[in-house]
Amino acid sequence: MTLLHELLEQSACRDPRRQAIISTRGECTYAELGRRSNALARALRECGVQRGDRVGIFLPKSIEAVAAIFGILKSGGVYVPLDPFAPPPRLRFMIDNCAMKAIVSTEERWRSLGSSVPVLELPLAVEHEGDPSPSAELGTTDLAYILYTSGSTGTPKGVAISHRASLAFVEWAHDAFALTSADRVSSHAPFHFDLSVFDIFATIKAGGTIVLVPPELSVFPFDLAKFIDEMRISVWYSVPSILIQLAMRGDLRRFRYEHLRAILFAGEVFPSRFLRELRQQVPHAGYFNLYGPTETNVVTWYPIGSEIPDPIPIGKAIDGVEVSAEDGELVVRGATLMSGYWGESIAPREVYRTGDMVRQLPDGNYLFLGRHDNMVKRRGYRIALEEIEQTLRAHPEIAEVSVIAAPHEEKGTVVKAVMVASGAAPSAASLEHFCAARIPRYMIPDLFEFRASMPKTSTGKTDRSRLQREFASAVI
Amino acid sequence: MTEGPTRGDERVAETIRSHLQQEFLHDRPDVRLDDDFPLVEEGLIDSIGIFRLVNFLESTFDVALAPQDINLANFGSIRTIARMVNSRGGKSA
Repeated sequence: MTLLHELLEQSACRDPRRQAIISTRGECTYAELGRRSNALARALRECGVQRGDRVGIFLPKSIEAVAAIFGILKSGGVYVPLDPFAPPPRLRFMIDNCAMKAIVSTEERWRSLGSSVPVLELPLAVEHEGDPSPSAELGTTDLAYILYTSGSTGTPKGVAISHRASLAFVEWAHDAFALTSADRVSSHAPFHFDLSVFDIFATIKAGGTIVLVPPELSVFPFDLAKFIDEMRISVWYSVPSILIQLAMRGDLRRFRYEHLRAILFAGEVFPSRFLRELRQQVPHAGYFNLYGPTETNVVTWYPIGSEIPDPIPIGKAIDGVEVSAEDGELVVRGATLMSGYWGESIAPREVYRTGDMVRQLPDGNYLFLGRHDNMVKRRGYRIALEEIEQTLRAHPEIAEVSVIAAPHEEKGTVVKAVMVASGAAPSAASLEHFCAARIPRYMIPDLFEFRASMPKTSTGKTDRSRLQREFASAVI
Repeated sequence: MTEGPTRGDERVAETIRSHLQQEFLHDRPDVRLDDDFPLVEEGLIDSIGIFRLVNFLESTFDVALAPQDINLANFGSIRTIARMVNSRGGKSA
């Protein structure tokens, strides 16, 4: 029986002086990460944090944030990573929704939030040496973290993941990609995004080094290309959109990438044409498509062979997981499943219906066909279009609204809001402004359109599929 | 060639500032967009926003930017963007 933070203790024991984390602002050994997370765990205990209490992390991507993750787990708590750039009302919703006991932050960033939850400010004023008193009876079905995703009811939903569920994926990934202490694994995804689970825990299990990718580098593929080479990254994991930018604008042929042995991607469909482009520039690396909603962790994978199929399948089930297509919908059974959404019943789950429509190919691989509801993927984030509709519906000048999406090769997904105004139609800029105060940037529509009336179905409902068809043909 | 601010820099900076205010700043009323505001570190410009901004600069100032121009040193702040546009012979509209 293992818990997530025990991975750190085991690796720290084996080789305390090895680098656990490298960032552009500093480095941290396994011993140091152990010491820092112990100190934080003790401080959290002194704040009254007990087994199962939710503790927020409101920090930029940093060594401190990784130490906070392990510190919270060691205290017996459940870590809840918050997006430092999310609008304050959304952050306050999450803080209230899971009744956070405390938040780890830096004074400056915290003030902008204006919440009454106690804050543990970093750096800690006093650090006592030694282990935190062991957390009583923490078991593998205890929750490890909560990740918030877009919900169709109009508010975010907290996906609650147990130590056991996370470890089932982490242990598989560690073995499948043969991670060792020599690996330097990219940490590109923000910590509130489930891709980070691999970056942090699989790397720590292997005793390897996490390379924190500065978020600003994602904006500049030309610089990011150099960073990957300079930092001697051996395993890269990100959403396809950043790999597309690297292939298109990174000028990757400048470098040899001799250490880069595996490139993993997940979160959205990688158009084959761009993957081909990427592999021409970095031919020696292995390429792997991973698939799984936040609720299940990664559950299928597809190692890319010498031929790049079009489209790229999501592949077959990982060890310990069963997937099947039931009425065309991908259904998952296995140890990696979430325990539930926070606020609903929390208990290990047997089965999860993904809402993703799939088809099984003759060779056993699954092919992703699309969503059966109004969910779309954008830059790796799953978005409920209803949540954008709910947001716009609250605008005093909007009488009716329907939000639709269409795939776009390079941009991924284009989102459009079609509306009927109750009076004078507000400008696109003011609507963007209105949305930006309420929902994260990746959810804001690219296009706003006003019509005199909505197309209706025979039953008088908005004819979404007609709007959808019109839009899809316009985008392509 | 002088490294200090020129009148051209200031005019270009003003155009860029009003564009950024309009395009990227609706959700950040707390931000005062001065010439040295760290646009990327503060999350104002993200991976999608950068190409909207590049398109704007190319069409407004009639400059062509190469992939290697699109880096943090050039796009870190309004001041650095204006300096780059001017050094590429950008013409104010």
